[in-house]
Amino acid sequence: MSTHPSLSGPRVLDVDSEISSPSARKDLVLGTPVRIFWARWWPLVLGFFSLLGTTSYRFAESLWQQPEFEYGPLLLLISLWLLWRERAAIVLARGQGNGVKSATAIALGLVAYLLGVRLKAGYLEFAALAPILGGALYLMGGVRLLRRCAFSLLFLLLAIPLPAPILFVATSDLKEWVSYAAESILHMGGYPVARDGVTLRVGPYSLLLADACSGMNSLVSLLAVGLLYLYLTAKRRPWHSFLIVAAIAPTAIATNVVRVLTLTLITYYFGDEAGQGFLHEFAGFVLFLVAFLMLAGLDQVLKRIFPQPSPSASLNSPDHGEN
Amino acid sequence: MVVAGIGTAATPSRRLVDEIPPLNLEEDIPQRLGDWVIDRAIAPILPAPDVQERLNRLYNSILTRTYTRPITTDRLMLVIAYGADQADRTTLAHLPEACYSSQGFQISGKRIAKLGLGAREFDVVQLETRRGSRMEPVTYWTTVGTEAVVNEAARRWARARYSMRGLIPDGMLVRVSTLDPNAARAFELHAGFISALRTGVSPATAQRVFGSFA
Repeated sequence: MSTHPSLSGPRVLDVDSEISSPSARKDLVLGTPVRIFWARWWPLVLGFFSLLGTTSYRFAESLWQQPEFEYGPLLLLISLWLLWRERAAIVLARGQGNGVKSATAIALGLVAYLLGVRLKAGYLEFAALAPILGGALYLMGGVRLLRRCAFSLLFLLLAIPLPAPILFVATSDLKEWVSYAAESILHMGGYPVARDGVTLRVGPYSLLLADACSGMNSLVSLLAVGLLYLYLTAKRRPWHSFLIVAAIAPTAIATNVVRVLTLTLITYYFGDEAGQGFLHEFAGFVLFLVAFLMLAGLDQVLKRIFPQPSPSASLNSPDHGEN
Repeated sequence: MVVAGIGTAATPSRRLVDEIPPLNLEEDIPQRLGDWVIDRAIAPILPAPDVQERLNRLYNSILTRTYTRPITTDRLMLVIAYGADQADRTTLAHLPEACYSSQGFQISGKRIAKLGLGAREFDVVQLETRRGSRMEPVTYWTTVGTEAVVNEAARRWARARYSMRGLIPDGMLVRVSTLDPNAARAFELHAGFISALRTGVSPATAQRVFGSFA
């Protein structure tokens, strides 16, 4: 076997059938494909991971310490894990991508990356990793490999720290809306409630909605968890998946309203201390679980409406390659 | 790895603050400005501990003063929040739009106004803020290095120009406010005070506080 298959005449491999045979899997760990892969692609692999490494190092000291970006490292880890799951396909792929296109993507990514570093624009620096990774995967295995690693790329995009002005507008709009909804519901429940901007007054207490109460974090986290759930579990029809994805944002916002309501009522009945203490964190965690269970419940309901497609007719990413 | 090395080298590392004379707000801003004097009767209200902690992380020094005009008994608050690193978004001076609304204030009006300072016009932002019955008109501007800027895009651009030269700019938020239900009157008062501030500080301080154009 040649260690340098030419780019112009790529050998098309059926990756799925190849890795499903036990001997090929063994090969993958011990044998030549990995060596061939390294001999050929080490500059790309090392290049990408050294960029990712230095960026993570920089972010760990600044952006990721901010409460609004706490989820960043987790999403990045999920993205890398999803990439690792596809390692067989990546290693066995044989240069099927158009060299000019992938070089363009990588070059643009590098320019954006350097600009992001220079301008200390974290979102640009991080976002630039996506075209670099995408370009590299495309070069290694063409559109097919790119599609296969699409979810890893998606999680990389989700982990981009939003630019401050966008985040500010989203956070304050959500806060305004959440406090309006909480006020309306408490009012219907007959509580002595008044609202002034994002300050809720209930009885003698006055509660100011902090940025953390906007639910922006839980929105991104629930989006990530929901997408991961869809990806890792059984195949669904497109409409089925679409409805679940569409339900994620309303679910996250609704549970956040419930969270604000709960904390308001705890404060109303048990005082300021109770509302600000342990229950604050706890409510956030419990309601995140509740939100996820609601999505899983919706999934069960939709399963009855849309029967699962037979494995042969699957369009969705199949379950494969896990060890 | 080469690229990552270049990336690390591309990070601006020279700090403008190390290359220009140091700023000491407490001394550089006089206690008397025109007919305004520091009001010692009013101890400045300290922010809540959690807010104070955030402020300490964000700024290198914060000047908080109440000035009064004995004849008219007008009272005015001056805040100058100074940060040595305006390149990084985690230490970038926060705008009053964000601070006031996260403290429960509502912003009911915002416009950019031109003040006549000496022979030149100087841009400031005028905000009308309200929390409950407390109406607090605010006049503010920010600086990046030796430039005064009043909108996000201009600030981003100024930061980018410094960064491209490999310099980390310092900068500040200068905020003047009064408790006054009459916003128009308040803004006029602010303008008078800002003009007194401009003429009351040394040229070197003026360059930092008002930008090099002033």
